[in-house]
Amino acid sequence: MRTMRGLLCCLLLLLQTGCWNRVELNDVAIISATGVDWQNGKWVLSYQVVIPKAISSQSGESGSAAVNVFSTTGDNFRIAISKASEETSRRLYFSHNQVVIIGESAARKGMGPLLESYLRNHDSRETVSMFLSKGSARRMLEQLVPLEQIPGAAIQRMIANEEHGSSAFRQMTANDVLMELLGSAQATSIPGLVIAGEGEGTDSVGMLGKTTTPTKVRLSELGLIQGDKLVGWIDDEQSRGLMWLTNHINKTTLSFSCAGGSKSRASSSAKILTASTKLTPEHVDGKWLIKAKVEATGLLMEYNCPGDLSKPAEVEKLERRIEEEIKAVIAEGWEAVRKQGVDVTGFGTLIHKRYPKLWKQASADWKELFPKTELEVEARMKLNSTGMSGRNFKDAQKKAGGG
Amino acid sequence: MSEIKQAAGTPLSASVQANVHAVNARFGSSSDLVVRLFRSDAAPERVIALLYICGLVETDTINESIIAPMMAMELPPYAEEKGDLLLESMRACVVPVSSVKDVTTLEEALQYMTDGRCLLMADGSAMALLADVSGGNQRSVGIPQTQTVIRGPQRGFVEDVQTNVSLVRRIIRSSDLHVQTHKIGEQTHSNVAVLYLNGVVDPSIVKEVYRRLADIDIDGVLESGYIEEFIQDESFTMFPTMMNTERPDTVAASLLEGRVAILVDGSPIALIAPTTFFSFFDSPEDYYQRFDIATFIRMIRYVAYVISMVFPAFYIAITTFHQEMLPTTLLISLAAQREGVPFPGLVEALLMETTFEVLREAGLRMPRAIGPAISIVGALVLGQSAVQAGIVSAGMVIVVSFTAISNFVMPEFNMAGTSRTIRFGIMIMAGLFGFLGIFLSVLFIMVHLASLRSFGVPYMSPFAPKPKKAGIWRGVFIRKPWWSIVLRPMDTNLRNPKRQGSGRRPPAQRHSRQ
Amino acid sequence: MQQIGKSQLALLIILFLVGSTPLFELGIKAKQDAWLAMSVAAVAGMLLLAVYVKLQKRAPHVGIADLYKFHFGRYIGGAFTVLTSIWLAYESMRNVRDFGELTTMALLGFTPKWIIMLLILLVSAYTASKGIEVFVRVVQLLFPIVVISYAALIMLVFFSGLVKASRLLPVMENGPMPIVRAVFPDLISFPFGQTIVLLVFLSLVKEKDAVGRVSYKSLAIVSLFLVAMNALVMCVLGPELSELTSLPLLQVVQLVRLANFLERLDIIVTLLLYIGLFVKITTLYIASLFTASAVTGISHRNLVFPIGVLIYAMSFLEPNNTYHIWIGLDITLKVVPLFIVVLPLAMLAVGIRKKYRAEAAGGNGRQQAEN
Repeated sequence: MRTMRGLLCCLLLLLQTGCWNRVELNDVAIISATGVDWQNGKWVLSYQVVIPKAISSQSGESGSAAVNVFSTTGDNFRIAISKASEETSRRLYFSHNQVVIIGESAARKGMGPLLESYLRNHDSRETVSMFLSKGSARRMLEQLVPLEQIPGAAIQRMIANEEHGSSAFRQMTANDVLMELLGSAQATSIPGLVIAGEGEGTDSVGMLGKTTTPTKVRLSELGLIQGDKLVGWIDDEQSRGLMWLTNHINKTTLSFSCAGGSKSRASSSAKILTASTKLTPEHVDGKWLIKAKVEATGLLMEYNCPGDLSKPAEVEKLERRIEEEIKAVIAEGWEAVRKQGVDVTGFGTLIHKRYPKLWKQASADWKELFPKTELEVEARMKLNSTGMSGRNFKDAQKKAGGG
Repeated sequence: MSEIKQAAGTPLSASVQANVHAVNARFGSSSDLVVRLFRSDAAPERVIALLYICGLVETDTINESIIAPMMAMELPPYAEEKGDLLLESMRACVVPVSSVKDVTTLEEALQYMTDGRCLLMADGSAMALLADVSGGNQRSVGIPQTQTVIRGPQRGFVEDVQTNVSLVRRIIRSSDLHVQTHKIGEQTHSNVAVLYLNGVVDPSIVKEVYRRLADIDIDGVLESGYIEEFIQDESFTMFPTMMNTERPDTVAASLLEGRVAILVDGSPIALIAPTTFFSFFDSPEDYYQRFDIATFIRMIRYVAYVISMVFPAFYIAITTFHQEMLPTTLLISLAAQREGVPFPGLVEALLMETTFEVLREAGLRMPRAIGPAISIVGALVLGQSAVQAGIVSAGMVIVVSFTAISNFVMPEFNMAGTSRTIRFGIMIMAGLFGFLGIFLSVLFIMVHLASLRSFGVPYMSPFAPKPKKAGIWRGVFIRKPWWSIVLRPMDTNLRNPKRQGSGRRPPAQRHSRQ
Repeated sequence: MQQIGKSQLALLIILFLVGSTPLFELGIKAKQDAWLAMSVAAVAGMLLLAVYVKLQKRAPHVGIADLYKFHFGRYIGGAFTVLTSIWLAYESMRNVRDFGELTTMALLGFTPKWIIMLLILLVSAYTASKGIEVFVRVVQLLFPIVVISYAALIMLVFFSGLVKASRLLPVMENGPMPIVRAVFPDLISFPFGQTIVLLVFLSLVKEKDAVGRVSYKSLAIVSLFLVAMNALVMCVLGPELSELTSLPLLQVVQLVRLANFLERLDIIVTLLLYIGLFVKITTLYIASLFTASAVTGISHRNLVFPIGVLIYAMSFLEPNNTYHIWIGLDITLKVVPLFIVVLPLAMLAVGIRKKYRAEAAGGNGRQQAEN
């Protein structure tokens, strides 16, 4: 009996003090995307808050947007976040944040404080995808996206789709960014977002009622980060070259011309199914030479060149042609990166791992050494299939006409 | 613990009249006491008295097998020493009755009369005969009500120990099946039968059962639950350390495994000991069905048990402490459901769980005729309307219903009750500390389980401790094919640990002879 | 007399040494060579264990308290026993405190530590009061959970493609010195030197002749596992990030994303952390109880409460986590080698004193008398 009474007292005590961490689902504001801007010497944080009621199928009133965007400012991140309670009834809840968009101004100012806040706090997850935006990040959060109800999730799915289907950009999670910035070269690249199209933006549900939206958020250009600051951009094609070089191609479509050279129109294309790039650094009289060995397999998707592909020799010729094209793409990307002088290629890390002793000397002036590094690309392409037809359509037509 | 306490009581007198009077007085002239006095042709001068309690005896048997032959009996010619001779003749007369016994004291006579025997006295003899004519109205052996199977015997225990023992004996037709009956209860004198398979069982466990039974000193035993509480190893535990069953085949299976069964008068529920935690998850049907299917079902049972214990707690912990662990879309739809629900998650869950327990209990107690009405009220009014009214969230209703259903998967009712009760504790801990609370509660339960024993056998064996007999733990989660169950699953010092020779695996393909 | 089986001993050693260790990237002082440091420490730990087993062989039926007595005499030995008991309680406290710190860090940020620590200590005390037999049974029950969780974790990490073996390169960038510096005294004290606690339990093992073999085998398994986990974390996070985060394994698991569904698996890590810490706390608690009971003559059941209170009280001595870690790394590490290296080696050198020789060897007879 005494123990029972004791237990009861304990329980009551617990209930009295209880519920420290308890937070009900209707007490949190679920954030799907965050934007970071730098304005007037202060950080401006923008939040895209999900409105669950508008999304759930039961009470889905199509009249209201599924998200709400607002901003707070402060000298540092956490104070800005805590200020949010001045204008929202619920606690901001970051664990389901899928996307962080960093405005160009903020990126040029430096991402250090943001990453620091990610490392220190448990509720912010390192799997969040990071983006740069040309212009204000808040504008990106305000855009509604057709097909998807939560724009933050839509952007996240967009980069995943890009990464797997086209590979011009890859998803950079906060963790990837942290790893690369902490790595030997202390440089990284983050894909950029722009608002494409004319008009004031797709920020009301009414606009989604039409078949076309005036503006849309799209991926564009790759931002290069050195240290923790944005130093420059490279365009989509250069970015794709970089992806080839850094072995981040999953699947992509490669277009090539019949003759080769940059003048002729790239009239044919192949789908790359697998691609792998192996880099080996070599130290040649004070300079570094990186040998890249690319191996790729793919399918022929579109073929507008002469030549009968039912003959093995023709196919081989075609493969050589594609190899040339791969080399060209890589070279384009490499030149762009080299010009910016930012080691987002991971060459520094590579050398560090292979030649730790030499790296000790090289790391100090890697910034100067990096642009002087030479790249030698060797490509091997294998076409698994040329599709269901042999000659191209036009050829066949001519033959039929001639015969 | 002798069969009958050697009554140093009142000796019977030589006068029938006095004896009848004494019996009548002891019973307080109860109306169900029947006294019949008659004289036999053999010794017309001596009154013969027949006493019994109506309702406990078979009146037809009395008439046909006792009174009729006695009326017609003849004394042997040497009628001089009439004293005991009459009694001997009477004994010879009542041969059709199964058992006859001599008594000399009043107390003993009374005791047996309440067991359903009739008392036969002849004037001039201080000894009386007790003839077993027990009978009367009893529930007939029928389908077990609480533990049903699809495939398997459809006979359940009844309230009478003798019948129940016979049901078991019908399955195990061996002289090795030993039955020891004790009388327990100052007033009820209930028969408590201990059954075991000699040559298989660990004799020390049988001895321990006897010792514990001997310690019981209570006025009445109405059900085997009384006995269970007296002889279990630990009183303050929610986990049953003895198995309850209504099925003779389960008892027989347990005996074959080297356990001891206890049957109690007045209860169709047998007790089986020693029992381990895991044996509560075996249904007798597991061993009648195909082994692969039975294994799958058994896995489901374990899963269901865990669900019935921690699922609501898990839901509370996730939705109120660890929302980050939900997939985003699920989180959003749960959040949408919770909009406008006035109670915190814990209160909501406790509310719904209590409601369900009330419904369950009501369903159990109410008259059968209004059963459907309660179901409608429960399902429609409380479930759907509560959600529509925004008092509870739909997710919570799903969780509570699923938990409730899971609870009924358990083949053993007492184990199901345990998880139902513990659930509330874990829910409160989860509501206070989230996963930490669940972890600590489960850990506490594990420590508790590891500390339990059932008649000296560790409750969590054959997992903790690992058995001396290698490999029997595999039989816990998997119902092995019969030919591979070589060892009896009990980790005690069984006299005969093997239940069959090994290597009895049937050939993979059997061809009929050409 | 409580007894444990040899398989129970093996599981106890494994779970006790695994504890919460895989959560931390130990030996990170050696950067990407942390796993090498772990391996070296494991070998050193094996040597220490050999010393302990050797000592135990001299008097197979007695615990650490009597070993001290046999080697150093009644008074000095008694003093060491008291010290050891306090030290074990202190080590238990450190784990209780870890439990509190990690819970507030990773799971419940706003819940006061005193209640978290009180709760885990209550469960531990309950276990301790039930005795070592029940505790090893609990360990047996927990073991499959731990194995399955780690297996699931490792598989998920591999399947999500986070592992890059190249992060272990370059091997021994700065020569072997950083490795040696990481091993002594840090890694040798924690986790491998903690096998000293076995001296309390080895005498309870039923199968006396299997003691050495089982201990070595278990330690070898644990070492392999710990080195593998260490390397795994390094392969995912790389040296810089593993150094930066306080709970690297948690960080690793947070990165796992599979099929848009299997993500946020922190719960598994938290579970493993809790189980590991619980086993550690309770093992040290019981060890402390047994030693204290040997020197005071009070039954260990009666000591559960006072020592529990002692552990709980001690856990408030440190104001915050930084302090806690600083004490752990700077102060404790200077004291610990006394118990795990100096005293055992001294015993090894001194040998059993003459007057106890008969008792040490004849422990068998006494034991049976007790039974």
